[in-house]
Amino acid sequence: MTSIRNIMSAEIRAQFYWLKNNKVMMVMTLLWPYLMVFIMISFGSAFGSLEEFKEKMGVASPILYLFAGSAVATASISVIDNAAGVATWHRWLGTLPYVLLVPRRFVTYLLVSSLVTSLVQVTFNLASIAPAVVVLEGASAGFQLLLVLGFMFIGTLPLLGIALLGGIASLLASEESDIINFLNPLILLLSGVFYPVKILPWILEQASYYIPTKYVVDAAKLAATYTYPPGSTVIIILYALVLLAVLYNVIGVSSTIYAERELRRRGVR
Amino acid sequence: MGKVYTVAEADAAIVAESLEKTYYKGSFPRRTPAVKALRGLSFKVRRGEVYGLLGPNGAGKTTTVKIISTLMVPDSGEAYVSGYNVVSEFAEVRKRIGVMLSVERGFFWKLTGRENLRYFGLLYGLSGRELEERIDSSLETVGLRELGGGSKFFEDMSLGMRARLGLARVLLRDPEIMILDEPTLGLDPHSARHIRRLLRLEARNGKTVLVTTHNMFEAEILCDRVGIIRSGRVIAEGTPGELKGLVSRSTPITVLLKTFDEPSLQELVARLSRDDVRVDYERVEPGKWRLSLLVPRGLEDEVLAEVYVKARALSLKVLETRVREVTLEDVFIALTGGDTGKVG
Ligand SMILES: Nc1ncnc2c1ncn2[C@@H]1O[C@H](COP(=O)(O)OP(=O)(O)OP(=O)(O)O)[C@@H](O)[C@H]1O
Ligand SMILES: [Mg+2]
Repeated sequence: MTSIRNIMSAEIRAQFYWLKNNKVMMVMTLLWPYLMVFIMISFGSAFGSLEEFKEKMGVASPILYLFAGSAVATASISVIDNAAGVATWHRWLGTLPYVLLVPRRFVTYLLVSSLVTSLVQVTFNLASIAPAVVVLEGASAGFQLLLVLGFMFIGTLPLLGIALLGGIASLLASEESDIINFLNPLILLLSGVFYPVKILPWILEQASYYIPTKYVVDAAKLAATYTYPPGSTVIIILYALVLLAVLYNVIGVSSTIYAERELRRRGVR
Repeated sequence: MGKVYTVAEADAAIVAESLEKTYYKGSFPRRTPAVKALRGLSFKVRRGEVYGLLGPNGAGKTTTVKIISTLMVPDSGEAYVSGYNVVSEFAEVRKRIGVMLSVERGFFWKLTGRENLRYFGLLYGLSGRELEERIDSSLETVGLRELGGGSKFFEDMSLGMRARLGLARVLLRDPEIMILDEPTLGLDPHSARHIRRLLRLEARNGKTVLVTTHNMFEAEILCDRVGIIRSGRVIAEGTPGELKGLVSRSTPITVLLKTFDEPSLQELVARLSRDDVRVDYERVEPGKWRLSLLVPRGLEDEVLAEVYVKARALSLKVLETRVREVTLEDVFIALTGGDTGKVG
């Protein structure tokens, strides 16, 4: 039986080869979080000055928040794109049957493969923003960014569960419909990265508590406010992320197991 | 564990018993049966032989291959690979097979041949030195090494190179059993011959090969035994020689005709067809047609005379007539009723 390590190694290499062979794409990936910064500044300027933005978002260092928040937003998109996209991507390439022929459960392959690609992407996204943060805000801000990276790693776990669900739905719909592209704007809308979730209608504000990215954004706000964030808040954020991780992965994994059976009933294409 | 063998099955690498499969159409709430792809398909592949599933388009070849390679679950019936059930013991089956489903897809476009093989090799449980050695030897075996396929992007490869890379992936794990769905589809004669030679060589080295094709010629020269499938059933099975014996009481006759008037030709075919005479036709070049007739032994002269008379009546010019040796194509036509699968 193929070991988990082998699957991880295969995915890391594939991702490395992919970036190496697509240099323009690599540069775009590096620049992407900066693009997001501009989007956030544009959104932010709707509130007026930087001071007002600071006030509304409740952060002490708006620059650090702008950058960290952008990185979190792009990382969140990457995770959903990568993890939910794995299955449909393989179908488009025609590699799906060969991946299913790995002598492991499909869900194992999907989980390991999307976890690896997601963590690499998240690191990539936050690392690309690091130079700007250090130049503008100093080395200590770099440390704060590391903290955000840690939270984003944990935030990746519940996002994976959601992504698994989205990917499986796309695969089973067996249309060329892309459910993933619907997930991302929804998650960003509810994450409160562009504006405080309080300004959302009540029902959406409630829904935002089920969005992992919201908690990572909260963590980014903490990091942009305190050098040593208060322990109780950190614990609450961690607790929420772990809870959501369990919830979404139980749903995601069980529906993938169902989907694998359904896929083999219909015939893998 | 695997099932209890009977003596007859002990040397069977693949056993398929009464496989049935229906495809559905429409999406989830309103799914209706669309195509009965397999209707009780059975066959047995012995260890170390090249077994060919020969059938026209839509006969159920790909469906069968997917079931045998654990990519699809049959509605009913059972299949075993090396004694392991393809449904309940799929992981055991997967460890023993190498599969190739299509020539032109199935790899990452923007990765080189070697990078692609490394990815799949790792997924199939190889690593380190062993992986690199297997990649080298597979590339060598399929002849991609000398073509520089290892460092070429998949998207830049010709169909012939892609087929070779597909085969290299099959060989990576050194599987007991190779399962290939139309591995020569779309290849030029040179590449196709190369692939066939390779498969024969692997079989001589002890591997079992299950291959599908709609190419009679290929089945005849490549396979130790052939199962002819039609509408989801194996309708005849045996060595090419045995299968040809099935029509030994018939003589194949080829007639070359000159005309630009296809309706008249169709009329001629209709007039010549009888219960004991099968007729099929095909264009050779513009204005030139070949009729293939399968005629009961002893009636050759009578039928030939009939061809001349009826052709003249329709103003069709007979260029040449020839009484031939039986080929697998004749068997195929005799058994499948003129449906050679060449069109469609
Ligand atoms: N996913 C599917 N949904 C619906 N019908 C299908 C599906 N796959 C195959 N079929 C139908 O099932 C029948 C058998 O198909 P299959 O692909 O097994 O035939 P084949 O012998 O491989 O044909 P070909 O020579 O064209 O590859 C065909 O009529 C085909 O149209
Ligand atoms: Mg087919």
